[in-house]
Amino acid sequence: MKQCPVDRLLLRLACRIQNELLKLNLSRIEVVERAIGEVLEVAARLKALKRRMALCRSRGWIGGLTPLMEEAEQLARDVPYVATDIDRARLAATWASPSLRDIYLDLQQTEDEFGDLAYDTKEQTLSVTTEAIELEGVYLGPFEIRLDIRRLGEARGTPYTIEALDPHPASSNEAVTHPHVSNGGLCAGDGGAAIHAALAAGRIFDFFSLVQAVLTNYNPQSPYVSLDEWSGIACHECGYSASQDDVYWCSVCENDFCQDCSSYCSRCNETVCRTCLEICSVCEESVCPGCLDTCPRCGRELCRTCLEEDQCPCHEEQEEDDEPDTDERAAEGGRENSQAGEQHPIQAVAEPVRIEGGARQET
Amino acid sequence: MKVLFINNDGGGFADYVEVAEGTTVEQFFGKQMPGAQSEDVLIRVNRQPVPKDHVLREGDRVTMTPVKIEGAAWRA
Repeated sequence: MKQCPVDRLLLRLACRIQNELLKLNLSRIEVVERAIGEVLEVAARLKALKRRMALCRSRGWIGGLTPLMEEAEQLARDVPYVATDIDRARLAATWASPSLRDIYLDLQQTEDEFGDLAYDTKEQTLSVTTEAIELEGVYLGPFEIRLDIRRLGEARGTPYTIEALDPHPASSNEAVTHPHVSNGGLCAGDGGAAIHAALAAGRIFDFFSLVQAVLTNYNPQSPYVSLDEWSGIACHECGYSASQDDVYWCSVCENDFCQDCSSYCSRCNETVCRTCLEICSVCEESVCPGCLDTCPRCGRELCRTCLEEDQCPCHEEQEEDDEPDTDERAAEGGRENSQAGEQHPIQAVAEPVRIEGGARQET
Repeated sequence: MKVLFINNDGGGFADYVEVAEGTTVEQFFGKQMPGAQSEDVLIRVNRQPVPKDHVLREGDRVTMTPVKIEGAAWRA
């Protein structure tokens, strides 16, 4: 990037800024023209309405007058709105274009007070660098305020960006380099209107001063990231910036998590994030992947405890299958079970299904 | 007499205002920005910082810029 000494370019730069501001004023005239066009449209409809009303009246068509009166009411409501639009557009367009001398003096003042006014001839950006900024004990470093001259003529948008030269972003969001700067965009809050007005009037020094005044101040009511949470550790899951003492390390994915996003394995008690936890299909406890196993018989995933205690439903199914399946045995068993108040073998076969279903219901 | 007053507080108002002869910067500030603290505002006359007893003259360009402005976070 070619940086030219500004003192040789000030006048040329002032001319360029003046040209862009002229474009801006011309675009505002277009807005006034559009607003006038809307008024003329309403006027044309009123004129046509008047003609139809006169016709109805002359012929005594009372029934036809009712909808015309309703239309008149609607148009009468529109008139003040469109008239206000003209006035608003007119006021926005009456910012006098600054003289070349004023812009030149502003550039000179900016250079004198900020000390490092730089003009990038290729990108056509004008920039100054602030002192290193520290807010409430949090070091944020110096910032470059970069004004895009080519975008000065745009009626909408923000023609400037803020770049951290020694970035100390919020731990929870690297794009936030200042409580009021995100992705290079400044949310100027209370300074927004004044910054806009300064740019529109070509008051370059005021523009840089106002942006600097926002950067050197902290509004705790509305930051992108609060300074209280600036240097905390960001939760890998939700991004919440938590203090060192409130951060939990997941032994599975090896990331840091806030209290809400972390849990523990109900078998080994290891701290594990909620994402890494698995659910045992039998006991439905949350367990870490290390405590989860696969049943060698049916392939069902269940915790080691359930596996060791033969709690897998397939185990009971297997036992039932191994029992002699004779009518006599069944009848005998049925009699025994009935006497003991237990379940019939046929019902017992269905037992694992009921257990499973019951467990699901609990879920 | 008239001076160009640029108020960079709020909406960034800029216009010519009538002031009495012999008006000092302090008096002008008190009238134009009632309730504001002078230490919170940088006052310049013709682009130069001036003392509070500086007397304004016809055609002066008076700029008042707050030194602390509350930013925000853009909300969609």
